[in-house]
Amino acid sequence: MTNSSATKFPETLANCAEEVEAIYAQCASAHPNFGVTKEDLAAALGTAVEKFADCSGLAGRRQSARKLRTFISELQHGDVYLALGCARGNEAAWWEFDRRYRSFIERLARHLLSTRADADEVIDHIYAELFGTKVVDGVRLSKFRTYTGRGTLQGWLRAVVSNAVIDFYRRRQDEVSLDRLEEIGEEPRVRHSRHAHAHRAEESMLATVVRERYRTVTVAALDHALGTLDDHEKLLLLYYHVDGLKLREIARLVQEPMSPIRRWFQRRGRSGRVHESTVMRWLEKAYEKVAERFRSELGAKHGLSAEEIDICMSIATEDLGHGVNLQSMTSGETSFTKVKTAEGTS
Amino acid sequence: MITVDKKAETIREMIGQRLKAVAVAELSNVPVQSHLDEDVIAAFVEGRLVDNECQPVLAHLAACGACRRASAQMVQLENQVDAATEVSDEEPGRLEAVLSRLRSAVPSINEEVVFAYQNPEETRQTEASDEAGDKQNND
Repeated sequence: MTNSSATKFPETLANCAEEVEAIYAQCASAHPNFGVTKEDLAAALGTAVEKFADCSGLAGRRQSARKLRTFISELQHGDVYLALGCARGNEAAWWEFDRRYRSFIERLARHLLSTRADADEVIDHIYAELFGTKVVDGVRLSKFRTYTGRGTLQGWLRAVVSNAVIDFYRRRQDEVSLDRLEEIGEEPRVRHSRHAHAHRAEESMLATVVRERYRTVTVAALDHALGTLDDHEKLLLLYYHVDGLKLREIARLVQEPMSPIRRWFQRRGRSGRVHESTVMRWLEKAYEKVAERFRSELGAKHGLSAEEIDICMSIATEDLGHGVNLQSMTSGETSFTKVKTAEGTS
Repeated sequence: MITVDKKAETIREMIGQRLKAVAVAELSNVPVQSHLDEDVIAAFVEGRLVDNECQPVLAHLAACGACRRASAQMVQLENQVDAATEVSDEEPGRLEAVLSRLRSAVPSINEEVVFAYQNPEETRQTEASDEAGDKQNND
């Protein structure tokens, strides 16, 4: 997005001039007083194309013109147009934005913060960010510039408010948060020592050295098993176990026919409501997969017998927090993260 | 010997504990600059990304606790706060004051910005009222 009406029509959109023209005509006819030019809109659509080009197959291919048209048609044109008007500082656009979304922003902020004063402070901060009070190279840096229209403006605002609240807590409770972080980091070790103490009396047959050996191979085998999961399976487990999403919330996330996770689990693309029991079945499948690979790894690679594998499983829930090897469980960087770095957003 | 049900429960617990432990370690291992932005997270949660776009996002979310938590919060907020989106009909004086304050905080730049307040509905009403007044005067 740009504040300059003199922006050239982006080369990436050369094959879609008619589509851009039609989109602009529609938007401008609904809101002729937003002060947005066709070039502004074209530049914004071009930015969206560039941002998602690497992953959408829009770049450097013969079919890219068709894909490009589809991509552009799927963008939230009205929302992009409104965001452009606001990024330019146009008051009619701001009035429309405020009318449509202020109550939504307020409800979100008040839901996430304990006092009304804190919520109001965050809302003020959000409006300042959206308007943009910093100027770089003669251009006011409005937060609206980072919105591309791939999702709805309301969804984007939800993320903006949520991040603003996190920043608010970070600013206010930096030291407290660090202490809490350390406490969380310490927790497994503390729990382990308590657990270990109780078990020492009960399970005298397991010498410390033997336990340690079993624990080490258990962690290694489990990390290996988790590392072999596909990203969508791993994400499902993480949403459920770590981020505390309920089955119905995951079901809602995958309910959209276009939902990425759903597409991975249901390749045939069935439509309709996703029931919580369906999500539970997906979880069960992921558990089974991990269990199978975990046992196989312990047996084949570490040469453990069935009884020894049972021992590993019996001590497995005591402490698996040591020796975390992120490399074995994570994937590489994405082009989207590079985009964000380049934009310098936080 | 562990029973089948007990085994399944143990596996679930084991996986949950290990994932939590890894998530704690992640907090200090993922560079801040490499997070997904709001635009991508919102599009992901709304199911707007196509397969090719989605794969790197899935990979990032599976690896980055901060972004995953942000996306999880989007889902939770969608359930808790989005039930009804109200449209505010409040008079624009508050917004005018906000924009005026923000503008005064911005260093002077040559923007092609319309700073006069324009509410299309209000403008239409004023014009209609003026026209009616003119007509009465003429009569």
